[in-house]
Amino acid sequence: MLNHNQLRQGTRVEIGGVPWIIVNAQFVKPGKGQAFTKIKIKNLIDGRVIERTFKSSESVAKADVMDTNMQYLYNDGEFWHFMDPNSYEQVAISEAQVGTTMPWLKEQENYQVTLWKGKAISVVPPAFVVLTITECEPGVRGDTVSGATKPATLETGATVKVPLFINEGERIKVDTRTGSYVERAKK
Amino acid sequence: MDDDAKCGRSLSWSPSASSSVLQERARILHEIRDHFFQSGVMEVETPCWMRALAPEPNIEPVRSEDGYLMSSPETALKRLLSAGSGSIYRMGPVFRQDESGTLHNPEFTMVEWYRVGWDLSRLMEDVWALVSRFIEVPMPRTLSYRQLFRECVGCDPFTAPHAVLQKEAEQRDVGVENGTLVSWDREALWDLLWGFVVEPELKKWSEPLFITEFPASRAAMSTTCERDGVEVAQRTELYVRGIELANGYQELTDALEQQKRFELVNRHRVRDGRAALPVDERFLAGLNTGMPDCAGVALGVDRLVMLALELDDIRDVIAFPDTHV
Repeated sequence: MLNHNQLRQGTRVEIGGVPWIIVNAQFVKPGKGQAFTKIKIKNLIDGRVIERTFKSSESVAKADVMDTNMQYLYNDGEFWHFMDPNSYEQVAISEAQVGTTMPWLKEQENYQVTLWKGKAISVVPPAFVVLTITECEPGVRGDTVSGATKPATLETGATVKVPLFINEGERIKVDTRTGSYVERAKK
Repeated sequence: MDDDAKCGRSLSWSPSASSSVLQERARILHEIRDHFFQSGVMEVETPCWMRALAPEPNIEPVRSEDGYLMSSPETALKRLLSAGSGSIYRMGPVFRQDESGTLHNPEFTMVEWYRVGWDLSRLMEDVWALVSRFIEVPMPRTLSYRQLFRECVGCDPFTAPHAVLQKEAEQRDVGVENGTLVSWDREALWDLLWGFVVEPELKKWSEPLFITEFPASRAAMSTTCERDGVEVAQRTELYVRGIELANGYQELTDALEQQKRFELVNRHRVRDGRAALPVDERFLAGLNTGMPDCAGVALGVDRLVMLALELDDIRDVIAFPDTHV
C-alpha cells in the first residue's frame, strides 16, 4: 500500500480494480487543517483521465504491474505480437494499447511492455531509435547551418522534420518522446 | 554519458534556486531583520532539536533518535517571554514530516515574533507593514472564517448540517469518490472545502486577506471568545494571492487551559491510530509562572520570497529543497 506522500507523478496505482498511472500530484494542506493529496490519474487500460483526492490518513493500493523488455514480432491485422527474448513467451497487444507507440514499431526491435497481472496493457518505445528514411525531398548539399527543415517519412511510417542536407535512404536517430530528429546515425 | 553515470556526474548537483533568486532572498532576509531591529524586537535563537513539543492535530513532527526536529519554535519562544525577554523574534528552519509540494517543503524557513502588550489587530498592522515592504498589492481586507466560508462555499460552516457540507463538496467535484464523504467528520469536510474551494477562489482576489475568528477547535495556542453564538479562536491567517503566508494568535496565557488542549490533541491522535506526542512541560511551567499578554505570529519566509518574486514553486526559492538533498 502507498501512503499519501508516496503518491508521486509516474507511480502506478490500483483503484476500482484497474491500474492507473499518476500524471500529476497536488499536495494541499490548509493551515492548521488536514493534508490532502489530489492526483490526476490515467487509466492504463482505456486511457481515461480522472481526479481523486485522498486524506493523509488514507492509503492507496500499488498496481501489480511489471515492465519487461520484449521484441516486436509482427502484426496479424488485429493484434501486435511481442516476445520475451529470455522465456520466448509471446503476448498480443491491441491497437488502443499500442497507442502512440505505433509509428515507432519496427520488427525485431526491443520495446518496454507493461504487464498487469501477467497481461500486456501498454508498450513504450526506447527513448532513441535509429530508422531509415523511406521518403523525403532530395538533400541540399552543404546546408548545415540555416536550421530550415523538411518532412521525412521513416520506414515505420512516422513523419519527422529533418534538416535539408538529409537524403532518402539515410539512417537517422530520432527522439521518440518528442518525435524529433537528433542526428545522422553513425555508420 | 555512461562514464558520467558511473562516477555520479549525471546526478543533479546544482542548487534548485537560481543565483539571482538567492540574491533577492538574501536581501529579503536582511530587510526582515532590519524591520525588527528598527522596532526594537530582539532576535533570539531556539533549539532545532527538542525532546518535547506542543502537540498539534495535523502537524507531524520529524522524529530523531530520542527527540524531534521542531515543527515550530513556539514553546521555546514563550519560555523566553515568561522569563521577561520582552518582544522577540526568531528566524530559522522548522521541520514537518511528509509536507512536500509546490507550496511545502519538509524543512522551511519561518520567522516567528511576539509583541508584548499588543493585541491581535495591532499585530496584523505590523505583519502588513513587514509584508508590504516586499509585495506590491492593495491594502488587505479582513473577513472572518465564517463570512469567507459562506461567501465561497455558500453555506454556514458552523450551522449547516453534515449532509449540506457533503453535498457542497460533491457538487464541486473535488475528486472524492461518491459515497465516501458520509464517513468523514465535520472538520475533514471543512478542510476539504477550504483546500479545494476557498483557497482556489482566493487566488482570484487581488486584495490580500486577513482571515479571523477560526473554529474554536482549531484554536491551538490562541485565546477564544464568543461571536454570534459560536465560540471562535482569536487567530488570524494572512492570504496573499491565494497563498497562506502567516498565522497569528492572541496568545493563550492560561496554563491549565493549554494543558487540557494538549491532552485533547493527544487523545484524538491515539483515537486516530497515531502516537501521542510528549508535551513540553517546561513550557507549561513557564506559562504557569506567568507569561505576559502578547500577540504572536509565524510567517513563511520561503512563501514570502515566492510572492515577492512572483514564482509558483517553493523549490524555485530554496537552494536545496527535499528533491535536491
